[in-house]
Amino acid sequence: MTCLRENSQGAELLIGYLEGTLPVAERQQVDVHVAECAECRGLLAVRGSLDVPVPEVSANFDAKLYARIAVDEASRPWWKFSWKLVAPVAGLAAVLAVAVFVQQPVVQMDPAVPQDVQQLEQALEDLELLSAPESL
Amino acid sequence: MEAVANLERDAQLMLRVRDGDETSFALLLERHRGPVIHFLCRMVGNQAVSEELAQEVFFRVYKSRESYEPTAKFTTWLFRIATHLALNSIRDGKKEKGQQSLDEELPDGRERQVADGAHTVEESLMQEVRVREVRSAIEALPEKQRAAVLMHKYDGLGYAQISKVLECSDSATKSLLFRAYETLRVRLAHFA
Ligand SMILES: [Zn+2]
Repeated sequence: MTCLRENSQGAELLIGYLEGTLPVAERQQVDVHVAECAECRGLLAVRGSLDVPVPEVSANFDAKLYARIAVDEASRPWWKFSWKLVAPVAGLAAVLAVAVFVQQPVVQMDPAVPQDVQQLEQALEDLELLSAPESL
Repeated sequence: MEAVANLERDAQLMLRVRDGDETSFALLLERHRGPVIHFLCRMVGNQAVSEELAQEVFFRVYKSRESYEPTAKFTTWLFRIATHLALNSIRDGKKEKGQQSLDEELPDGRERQVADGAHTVEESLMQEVRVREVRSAIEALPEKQRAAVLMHKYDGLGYAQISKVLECSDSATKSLLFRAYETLRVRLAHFA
């Protein structure tokens, strides 16, 4: 008698038997062999002997995952956002671009005033402009 | 059939995640968090590493939601991601010395005892020895055999689904499973 473990066909039969997917004739073939073969009985039994305790999952597992997802979502590029959100932002950006363009030719450097003060005044003017684009 | 019901439920949940429903993601996480972490834990033999990898698995699931199509079983896709990450982690030698192995984590009381038939001190010790032997026998299997046998034994995946996870033929998977069980049989024969 050749043991089922000795060729690939027999090996496939044993795995099919373990899963309960064999047709009746093949299942009976395995039953007959296994009744006389301790090794094959051992092979079919080993799966059942592998039950061992598993560690519990850390309590903060989900929180860590959601935190990572939140960070990732916050860094999404703007074109991934929905147009509902993008449209008003894009509109505002267009208004600001026009405002800066209109403002630029008017600005002139006064040689009597130190350059850093001029820069500060310029920055303040820009800020005013940015905060009230609709007043243009 | 339960497997079919699972397929439909998971796929439906994932389609809802795709449409922006965060509750469905929470449900998928609830259903699969344990099995995925335990699979990874048995693959890499280290709980901390397995949880890190599982974070990556579920993060990738979430990130892929917009392109998700239910062409394969959800669990096939899920275990494919998990297996790839586990194999990469093992190959990268990420299981560095200094990190605790599962066996070293045993005494800290965080273990959920599945079998609690042991009553006497002797029985408990025997049980502990057996658990260690089973774990090290599984950890000693070649990686692909280990992945196959873990999914087969603990996650209820049949060889046909395991073939899809591992992207190999049914015959190759049956051969992996056979060699794994044969090695385990020889190694654990003294407990039979
Ligand atoms: Zn035999």
